[in-house]
Amino acid sequence: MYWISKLIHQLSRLKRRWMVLLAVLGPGIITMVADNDAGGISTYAQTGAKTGFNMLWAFIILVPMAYFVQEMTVRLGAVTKRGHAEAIFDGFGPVWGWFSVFDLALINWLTLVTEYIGMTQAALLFHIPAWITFLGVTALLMAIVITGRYWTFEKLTLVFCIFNLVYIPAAIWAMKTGNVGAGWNAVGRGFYAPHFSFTATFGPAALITLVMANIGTTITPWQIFFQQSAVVDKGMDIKDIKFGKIDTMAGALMTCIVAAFIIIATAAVFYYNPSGPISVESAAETAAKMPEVMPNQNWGVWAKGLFAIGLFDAGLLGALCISLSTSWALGEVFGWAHSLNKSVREAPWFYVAYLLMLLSSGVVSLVASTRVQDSITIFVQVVAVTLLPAALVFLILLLNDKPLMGEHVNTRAQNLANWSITIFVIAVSTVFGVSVLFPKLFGSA
Amino acid sequence: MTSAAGASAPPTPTAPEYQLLYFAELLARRVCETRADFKIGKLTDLVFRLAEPFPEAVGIFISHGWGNPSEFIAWDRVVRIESGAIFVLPPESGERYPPFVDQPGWILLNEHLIGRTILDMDGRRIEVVNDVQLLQSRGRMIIAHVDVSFNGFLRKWGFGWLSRRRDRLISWRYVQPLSLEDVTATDKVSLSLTRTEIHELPSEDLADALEELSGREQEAMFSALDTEKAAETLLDAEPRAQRQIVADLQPEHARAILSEMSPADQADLLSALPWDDRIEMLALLPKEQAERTRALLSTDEAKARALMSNAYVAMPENITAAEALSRLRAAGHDKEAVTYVYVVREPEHVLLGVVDLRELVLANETATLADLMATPPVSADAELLKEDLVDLFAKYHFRLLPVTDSADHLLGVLEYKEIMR
Repeated sequence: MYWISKLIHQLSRLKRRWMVLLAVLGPGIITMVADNDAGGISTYAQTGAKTGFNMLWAFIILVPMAYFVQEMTVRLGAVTKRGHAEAIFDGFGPVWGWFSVFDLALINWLTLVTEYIGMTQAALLFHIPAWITFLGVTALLMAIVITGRYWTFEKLTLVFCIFNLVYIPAAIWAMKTGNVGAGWNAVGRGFYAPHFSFTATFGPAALITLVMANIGTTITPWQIFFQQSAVVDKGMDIKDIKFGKIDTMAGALMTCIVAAFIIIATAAVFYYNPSGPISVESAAETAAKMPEVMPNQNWGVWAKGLFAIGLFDAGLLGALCISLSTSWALGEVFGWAHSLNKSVREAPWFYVAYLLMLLSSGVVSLVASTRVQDSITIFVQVVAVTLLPAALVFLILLLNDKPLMGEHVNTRAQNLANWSITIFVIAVSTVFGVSVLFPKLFGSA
Repeated sequence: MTSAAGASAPPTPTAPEYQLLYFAELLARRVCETRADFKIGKLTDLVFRLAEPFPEAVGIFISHGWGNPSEFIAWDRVVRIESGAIFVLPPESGERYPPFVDQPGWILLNEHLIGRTILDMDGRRIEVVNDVQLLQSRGRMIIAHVDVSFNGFLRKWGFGWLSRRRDRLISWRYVQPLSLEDVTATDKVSLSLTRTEIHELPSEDLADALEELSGREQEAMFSALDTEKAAETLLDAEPRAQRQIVADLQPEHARAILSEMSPADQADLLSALPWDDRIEMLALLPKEQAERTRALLSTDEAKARALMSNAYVAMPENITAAEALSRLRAAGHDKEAVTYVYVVREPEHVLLGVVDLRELVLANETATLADLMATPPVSADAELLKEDLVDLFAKYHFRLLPVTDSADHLLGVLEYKEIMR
């Protein structure tokens, strides 16, 4: 009978470890899923509509890329108990510190505008006026953080992360239209045997731009700041690092799977459309065209609804995490109390900064003309080019600081992976930034 | 014109019996030499000598406008204070007043007190000194109250007429600097509360107050605590404050504070610290204790063996209640956990039963512990994990649980507050 009690003991031990893991899950998943923000959804929709399933292989590379970069923030936060902005100040002095924080605040604010645009466009599909969306969303975003407990914020946000999965049924319906003769086999082929057919409007240059956009939307500066601050605010300790890594991996997988399904959905109905590929430029446009390309039964109407919900949710998550990462960073460098575990009374500036970011960017999104909105989108990508390389290099240097990191310093393998990623990202984002600024440079083949 | 010879003349007899003034109102008031049309400067500060029960004015500082150095005028040259101007006597000799010589125990109101933080002992909150209420009578001036209300802030900026609510005045008797050195030291920290009072506050309140203070003041206040209070306060502070305080600690002080904590508490504190600070702290501990703390830090599944303390009282079964009580008194101060007396059989230290302190006090003096003890005692196995211990405490609601090995040897005790925190 001994083995029974032993088994029970083992099971309870397993259950306990499982509970600990569940308790630690959060920062990684939230960071990664929020990364599929309004701009990200648009990028994936365009990718699907322009290249079909032929870009799916990219996500096999993007999962480890996102994981390796974000995993460093977990270790850095858990070991040093400092946010990323503070770590840069301590490690590289005020000049680089201010540069990073100023750049981050600027790029975050601009990205926030695009999130608001995404949300209002999504709500417009349900005939909700833009100003109501703005007010409602801002109130909701304030309500999520204002409880004075990090725990509440995290669990609420995880619920919103689940909504990100709405693209999976949308993709399944899109495949059911029968546009793709080979069905799911064709999807599978996209992972290992891509085949690009170029047209007059879609040449190699456009393809490269698309690849870059996909990478640029998967690794962003605010993610580094956000996840590290969240790890610190959650109070994660060195012994939680192993669970933090699982959390990050789960997030990386989830974000890439969702992205792949967005591509599958849009590819199946736009790229493989029986009457030739249909081009889309934004997530909102994608959603709006759904009924037209999926005439069977009510699938199209439902798919439109799902896409709109997904886009709204993406914008909401993005806005939440981006403005929080700014508030945390500002709090770290100005020395304000900066924790979601503090009430508004205890940490007034933290919440004021958060609210001001939301209000100002929201108002700009309401009044800006399409032209201004377009230039903001471009500007975001250019500023990201200046901040992302610096942020990645700082991150790796900090992780190699033995007195700071102790036994959790980067291993040789981690350094190899991270330096390759960094050099690759620097190269790609620079080319991308330049190509956005000077579209003529690469010509339109 | 009054001559310089009138220096020691008594203050003007026509002045009212006493007068209450706000410092903010005095600031920048015209300073005139005996006549209203002979303005020599503006008041910039008041100098007080700290004395019991109230500090007394010893002089004023005036400025002469752009480019000229400010000048100190001793209080015996100040004749009277009117709403429009302050009248002073000319220098005793020559053109200029004697230069200011700082003396121990002197403070400048504007420089050292206004805008400083104080701990309000009633509200147990940190307040800012916005204004000072002065009492003037028969040519002398003392600090009566400090004003921590918004009104004081308004007055400071000339918007006194806006104030609607009542002032919040705190009597100077309750506003005393931590130490004279603190106010007049170069870093000019004037955190205002006394050393005796600071120990009367619960550590939770002190921790709240510490969190609100900025670097220097935090350091000053923390260093005023004795090690036991400091340890409690540090444990009650939030992680960010803990990190700041530990970063500023001197190694010797840190060692003393750490030695006041149990391994479980140490692990709690250290888990909030950056890795480098953690290593420094562990290095301060005796080797064996450092090992235990390190073990607690590295696992989510701490065992009773690691969490227990040995601050318990154990006695043999055959001694009387009277004997037990006197032994308890003798050992009491070293042993935190005196709520229960554990009855053991020596020499193996086998746990037989437990006697509640209440039973012991109420018992007949000749009764032996064997008569009084509850048996069999509830105990925790040394290999139990923390989660199981939480269940155990939740079930029995004891403040202490003995820890035993499989052969019932008493190894240590667990405290409710450490497990259930």
